[in-house]
Parts: sequence; structure tokens; C-alpha cells
Amino acid sequence: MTAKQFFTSTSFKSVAVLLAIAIVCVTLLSVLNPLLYVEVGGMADFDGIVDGVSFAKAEINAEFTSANGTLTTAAKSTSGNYFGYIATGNKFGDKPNEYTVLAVINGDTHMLEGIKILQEGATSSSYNVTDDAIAMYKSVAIENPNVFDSFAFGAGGVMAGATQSAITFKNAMMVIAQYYATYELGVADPSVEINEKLNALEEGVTYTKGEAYDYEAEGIEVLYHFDSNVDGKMAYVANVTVTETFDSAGKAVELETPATVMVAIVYTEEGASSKVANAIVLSEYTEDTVTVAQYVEDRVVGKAKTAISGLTTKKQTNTVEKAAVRLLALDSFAYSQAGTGKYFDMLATVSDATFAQSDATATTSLGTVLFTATGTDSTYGPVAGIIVTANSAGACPSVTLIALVSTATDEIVAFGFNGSLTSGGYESYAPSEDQLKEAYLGVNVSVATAIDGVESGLVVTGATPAGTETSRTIKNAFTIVAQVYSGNLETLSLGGQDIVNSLAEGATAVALKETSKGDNASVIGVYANADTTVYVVYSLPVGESKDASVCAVAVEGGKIAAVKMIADGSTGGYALSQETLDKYVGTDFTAASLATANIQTGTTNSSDVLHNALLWAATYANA
Amino acid sequence: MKIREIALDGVVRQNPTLKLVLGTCPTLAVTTVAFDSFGMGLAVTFVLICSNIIISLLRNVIPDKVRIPAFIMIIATFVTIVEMVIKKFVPDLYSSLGNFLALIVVNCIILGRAEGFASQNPVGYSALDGLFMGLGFTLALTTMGIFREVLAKGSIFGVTLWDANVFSISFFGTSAGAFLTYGLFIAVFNVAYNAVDRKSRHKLAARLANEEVA
Amino acid sequence: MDIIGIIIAGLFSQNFVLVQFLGICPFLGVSKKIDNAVGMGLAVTFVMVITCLVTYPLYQYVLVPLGLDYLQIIVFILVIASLVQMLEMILKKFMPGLYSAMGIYLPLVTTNCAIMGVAKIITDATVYTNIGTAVMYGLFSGLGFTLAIVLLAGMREKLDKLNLPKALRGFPITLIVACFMAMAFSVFSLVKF
Repeated sequence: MTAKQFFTSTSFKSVAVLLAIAIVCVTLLSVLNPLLYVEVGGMADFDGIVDGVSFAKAEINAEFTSANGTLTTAAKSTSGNYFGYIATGNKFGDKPNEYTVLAVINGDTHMLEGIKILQEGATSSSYNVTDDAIAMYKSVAIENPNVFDSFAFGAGGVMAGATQSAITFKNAMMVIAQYYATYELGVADPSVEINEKLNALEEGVTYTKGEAYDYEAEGIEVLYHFDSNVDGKMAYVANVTVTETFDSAGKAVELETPATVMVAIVYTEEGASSKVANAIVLSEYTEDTVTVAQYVEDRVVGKAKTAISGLTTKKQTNTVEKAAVRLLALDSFAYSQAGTGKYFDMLATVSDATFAQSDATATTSLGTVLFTATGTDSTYGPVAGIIVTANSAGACPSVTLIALVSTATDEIVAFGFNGSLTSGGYESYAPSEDQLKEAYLGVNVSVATAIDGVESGLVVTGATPAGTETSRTIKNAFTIVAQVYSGNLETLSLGGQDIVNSLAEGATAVALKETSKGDNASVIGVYANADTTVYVVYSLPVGESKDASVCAVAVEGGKIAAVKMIADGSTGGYALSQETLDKYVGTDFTAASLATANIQTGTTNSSDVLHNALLWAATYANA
Repeated sequence: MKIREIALDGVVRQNPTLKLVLGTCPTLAVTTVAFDSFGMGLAVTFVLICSNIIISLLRNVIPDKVRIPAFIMIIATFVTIVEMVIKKFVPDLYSSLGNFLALIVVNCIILGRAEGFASQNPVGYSALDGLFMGLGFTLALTTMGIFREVLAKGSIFGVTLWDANVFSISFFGTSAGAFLTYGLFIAVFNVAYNAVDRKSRHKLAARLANEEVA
Repeated sequence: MDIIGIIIAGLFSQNFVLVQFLGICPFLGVSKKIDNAVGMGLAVTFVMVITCLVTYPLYQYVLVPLGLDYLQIIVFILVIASLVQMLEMILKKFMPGLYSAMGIYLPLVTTNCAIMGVAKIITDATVYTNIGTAVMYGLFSGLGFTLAIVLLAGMREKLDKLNLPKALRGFPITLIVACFMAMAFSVFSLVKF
């Protein structure tokens, strides 16, 4: 076949003609496609949602993206008062698609008049959003941005059995509500303002509203939870209701109406063990109006310091402070949010065992048990790992101790400290590693008082009180280890028992009632002999006091017989003298008479701490 | 007189829906309401006219061997254009016709007219054939749509005639109703057509007889 | 969509012919005798499965990523036409038994909207998340078509023995029978799975 024959053959002609037609057709369609292309979520989708209402595109205020999704289209009706939106809700779970939802809101009633799903997010049509669910969204007027937040799902909820699709759909609806309420109604999402305030706290730290955290108890209602772009930093915002405050003389004053203060607490994990909590007052509180004061509390676990600005009177300060302290006092709440991973990391510094967490945390008079776990070490066999933070026994920093106890011999086999023992100007007063090993390794901690016999003045460099404080703090830490290991957390040691005995000879422990924990003080031990009852009270720090205090109050015949400090948490120089404490002697041991008891020491915070302790002890005793 | 023949063929004698029974899927699927039926009819008419024109123009260029694939490509292109246009300008119709819009491509009427008429006739006639075939289809579908909509919904082209709660036979809105309606329409059409046909044949016979007499 | 759902939808509740009105032409045209109906049903099922197997990846992995989904009609119809052509040739050469059973129906399948319909339906990736579900859908829709056309043919064989009014003979009575079948099948839409 020659070339000419080939090119004139019908086969060639057929192929050439087909190709030519194909090229023309595809070209034609390619030209028309962009001209006639209809975007999903175009204005055409709005037609017919509400009878006789047509829509024109409206500008979206900024790029509207929230934690729930993105608003892609906004529209305004050309007649009547209607708003139309298209939003895409974030995916939830293993749904293949986001939900894209078009909704039309009646601007007069704020009710949804039409919902159209432009893209289903469900894996299968049997999980599609039901008509019932849509009816539920339509039944609520969108008057604030959080109107859909509380919609429940799951068994008995809106879309039983279709939780993931339901949440994906809900996200889209939440975006629409947020946008409508914020820009059309001017009702800002309160969390947005809080978010801005939080962002302004520290440069480079931005917060994002996370899943709501459901906690409501004891007058504390957690409203929001924020995550930040910094690892280990998060914030909780809560409404805290306080029923009483203090006047300038430190007397408890019952508020005529309970004050609810919105407080944000920012938790920051510093190093591996300590947390700093900043409390920020976010709302006005009743009684006296304080327009946002900023109240900041830096609280390293077990150690507190406050700096208050913007509050004008002591009473205001105290009320705000009390609210913040109440929230901070929810230590277990805070810890439960921190995660336990870092504790396993700490244990790994003293043992090669694989640990399993064994016990809940607790707070004792000396400090806090952060974590307990058990495992099998290649060198020591079965061991218990105990991590505690001891309150400072003076002006030195608190100490976080990681102790390893052999469960076969009950002896301390290894230990380490988290963070430095020597920070904050106490460098020269820290005990050496050898000194500590000699003192604590091999000590049998099967009894709670095991550490009592260790010489607390073990480091005497320069024989200064500060040096002694550091080693006392370390001893406190080991004491907590002994207490928790022996299963007897609240046994007093470090001379506490001696003080109790001096107040009531031969007194024996009385079981605590369930109500021993108060707002800012706790009764941690009750001892009684024939005629005297001694209450040992742990009282949270107030204002600038450095630390919690522990005191013992002896009661005979309904009157206070003696008051003694077991551990004083006041800032150096403001410790309450025994003379001051003695002013309480003879006072009726009732909340009513203690509330008016007046002690003037010149250091209000310290006296507040004691006042709180006594007041709570009396309340507890008479309850 | 050829135009009259083409028109009669398209609308009556070879009515694609009622006489040839072609393009049955859309006939059953979209005649629930009159508006959709009318829209589908117009879409098919447009494709018919366009494809008939192009195929007629190319009838001497396309080799016989590959005519079917060539026709299919041309038809598919016009169907795509119709789909795009309706999606853009009449989105409601687009969503109610759904996949049946794309399925015009396999509607036997269109390929049938391309094969049976356009590929053998000049452009003008082919365009007219497309127009009248399309009109025949549109007319049949729209009548059925009106019938079903009135009975099932008490409305016509979306305009309410009476309260559907008072009187309606919702059966005609269902798929079974579609089959019944189509069956009845073909039966009635056949009866009427045969009657008219007989009459005209009598007339013709009479005229021929008269001419003979004259 | 789970497999049980696909089976029930394909055979009954979303029956291609009686509920979705796809493939009506062969349903009415090739249902005079049961043998013909079986052949047509098998041919349609066969082509439907192969169509799903080819068009699903072609659409999801070629046309969509390239932004050419507006060419789907032209591409699908050409693919279907070529597939049918190839199948015919392959069957004729290698499986003459099968060819004689359903081969003659193959050319009719090209312009059967059931095939194009299934190709179009499975482009919805939110429901047919992978090729497996798409092919299963094709298979059971084809079997649903077969079920419907064979049932109709069975009844039409009996109808031939009746003395019907002239106007009802042929298509009208066939459509009325289909009407009763559709009523029966509509019950399956109540099945929830």
C-alpha cells in the first residue's frame, strides 16, 4: 500500500473524521464549561428555599472561620428581611466529607426557615441527617452565637446512632449561628472577647476555643476550655459563685447576694512538674462594681503568690481573690487536665521499669502527691514510684521529689528531683547529692513516721536558716513519700504530733467527717483526750502569703484553749507571733463568735489565713 | 408539501412517545408534574434540532463505517451543553430532572432520527424534522404531566387548582401511576388515531372515486 | 452503603426498572418471551458490572482530578459503546455458547439508559466510596433489572392467550401489567436497613 493509497483509504478517513469530531466537540465543551460553570454553593442554590424570596450575594465580614468550620457564602434577600448562608462544618470522626449546608434565617424572628444540605457528610445515606434533627434546628431562634452548642446527640438525642454525621452537621449549623449572631445581631460570642483577653496576656501565645468542658459543681461552672499554640498551656474559664468575703479587718462578711465572678485560669506547665496558674477576672461582680480588674495569681503548685492590680478596696480584692482561689483549689481538676505522660517521664529518670499508674493524687499538709505507680525495675525488682511536691518549709522553692521504693523491702532504693533544688538565690544552701543519699537511701518507709528520725538540719553550710529550710523542704518531700507509701497520708510528722501532744496529752485520733474540706481551709486531723479536742487545720494561702499554713487549735469546754502554728506559710517577716495567736484564747469556738474576733497583726494576709483556719475548724466542729 | 408531511409525521403519525414508544425512560420518570415534562421536552427538542442539523451537514463527510460513534459524540456534546445551561439558568429543573438530563444521550429518538432522517436529508428538512419530532415528544410528555399533576396534586404547572387534601389521587404521582398513565395514553391515542385514520382513508377513497367519476 | 443495603436497593427498593425508570425500552421491547428476557437481563447485568469497573476509576481518578468532569457524558457513552463492541467480538470468538444466549442483545444495550444510568449514579462518591461498592451496585442493579424483565415476560406469555380489546394490545397492556408490578415493588421501599 502506498502512502497515497493509505491516506485515501476509508480506514484512515474514518479515524481522521472521528478524531476531528472528537477534537471539535471537546474544544467546544471546554470553552463553554467555564462560562456555564456552576459552583457548589452558588447563589442559584438560594432560590426557592423560601417561597418568593430571592437572594443577592452579600459581603462576608472578614474571612469567617471558627473552631467549627467556615462560612463560605453570605446572602441577603432582595425583598423582605432574610439572610442566607452557606457554611462548611468541620469533619468529625471518620466521615469522608464535611457537611456543606445552606440555611436561610428570617431576620425578624431569627428562626431558620430553610435548610438545604448541599453536601452530605455521612458515609452512607442511612446516616444522613434526619428531618427530625433539621426540625429541631428550625425550632430555635438564633439570638446568640452559642444557640446550637448545647444540642445533644447520641442515644435519645437528636440523631441517635448517627453521632459523627450529626456532629459534622452541627458544626456547620454552629458556624451559621455564630456568624448571624455576631454580624447581623451584634451579639458577640462572649468567648471571643475572652479569647482576645487571653491572647493579650502573653506575646506569641494564642488561644483557640476547644471542646466544651462539662464541669459544674460547688458553685463553680466551667464555661469554656481554650487550647493554646504552646504545649502544656491551656485555659479554663469558669463562673465562680462566692457567698462571703472579708472586710479590711479580715473579718468574714456574708454577701447579701452571692457574687458570681467569671474567672479565667491559665495553666502553664513549667518544666516538668510545676504549673503556674494565672487567674484573670473577666466579669464584673455584684456588690461593688469593679470593671474588670485584672487579678493575676501566679501559683506554682504548692506555693502561691498574688499580685493584684486595679482593685481599689480590700473587700473587692478579697472577693475576687476568693473566687479565683476557689477555682485554683480544685487541684484535682487542674491535675486531671494536665495528663500523666510527664510523670512517667520523670519516673524514667530513676528507674528502667515500665510503670502503671496506681493511685489517685492527694493533697496533704506538707504538699501534694502528684503521682504513684508500680513497676518492676531491672536492678531493684518490684518497685513503687512516688512523685510528690513538698511545700516550701520557708523561703526556698518547693521541691518535687521522685522516689523509688522497693516493694519487697519497703526501702527507698533511688530518688531524684525534678527541677533544680538551688534556684532562687539558695544555691549555696542545697544539700549535696552524697549527703542526701547517705540520709535517705535505704530508709524503710513502711511506717508514716519513718522520716521523722532523719536529722533535718542535715545541711549546715554556713549554718543559716535558709540552708536549713531547703533541707527541711526536702525532708517534707520524703515524709510525704513515707506517708503515702505506708498508706497513712495525714499522719502528722515534723513535730506536728509533738505540738498536738503538748496541747492534749495522750490524745488519740478521731475519725474525720466527710465535710472536712472547706473552701479555703481543711481540717486534716482531730485528736481528743478526756477534756481537750485538738483540730489540725490546713489553710490555703491568701494574697501575698507564700504558702499554705497548718495550725493546731485546742478546744476545751467550747472555748479555744490554745492556738499553735505547725507550719507557717506567711511571707518572711510576717509570721504570726505566738502572742498574736494567743489573742484567740478564750474565744467561743463557734463560727459566729470567731467571725467577729478581731486580731490586729499588721499582716492582713497571714491573719486571714489563720482566720480562715479557725473559722472553718469551728464550722466543721459544730456541723 | 414536504414540510406538512414532516410536521404530521413528527407530531402525530410517528409520534415518538405514543406511536413509536421511544424515549420511554424520561417519559415515565419526569411526567410527575407538567413543568418538568415540558422542560424535558424542550431539552430533547433542542438536542434533536442541533444534532440533526450537524449530522445532516456532515452526512457526506462521515464515512458509513464510523457513523454511529460519530453521531454519539455529536449528540453527547449537545446533551452536555443542555445540561450545563439548565444547571446554570434553571437549577430547580436541573435538580428535579436529575440524571435523566444526561440520559438524553441514550434516548433512542435522537439517534433514531440521526440515523433514519438527518443522515439522508438536507439541512433544512433535518432541522424541521428535529423540531417536529421534538414537539411531538414535548406535547405527549406535557399532556401526561398535566394529567398526572392535576390528579395527584390538584395543580397545573405548579398553580393550585384545588386543595389537594380535598381531592387528589396520589397514586398518579407514584411510579406505578406513571406506568398506568403511559399505558392509558397509548391506548387512547391508538383509538383516536385509528378512528381519524379510517375517516381520512374514507375521504381519500371518496375523493378518488369522485375524480374517477369526473 | 453496606452490602445488605446495596442488595436490597438493587433488587427491590431501588429497582432500576420499576422504581428508577431506567432501562424501560428493553423492558418493554424484549419481554415477550421468558428466554429472550433472561438473555437480555444477563447481557445488561454483564455490561453493567463491566461499565462500573471501568467508569468508576476513570471518573474518580482521571476526570475529576483533571477537572474534566464536564466531559463525563461524552466519555461514558464512548466507553460504553466501545465496551459493548469489544464484548461482542470477544464473546463471539471465545464463548460462542454465551454469545448465542445473549450476544444478539448486546448491540441494544449501548443505547440502554440503564447502563448510562448506572455509570452516572456511581459518580456520587459520597455514597459509592470505593470501586467495590460501585461494582456491587452495578451487579445487583443488573440482577434487579433481570428480575423485573423476567417477571414481566412470564406474565406477558400468559397475556397472549387473552382476548384483549384491540386498543390495549401490545404496549398499553404491558404498561398496565408493569403498573401492578411497580405497586408490588413499592412495598420494598418500606424496608429499612
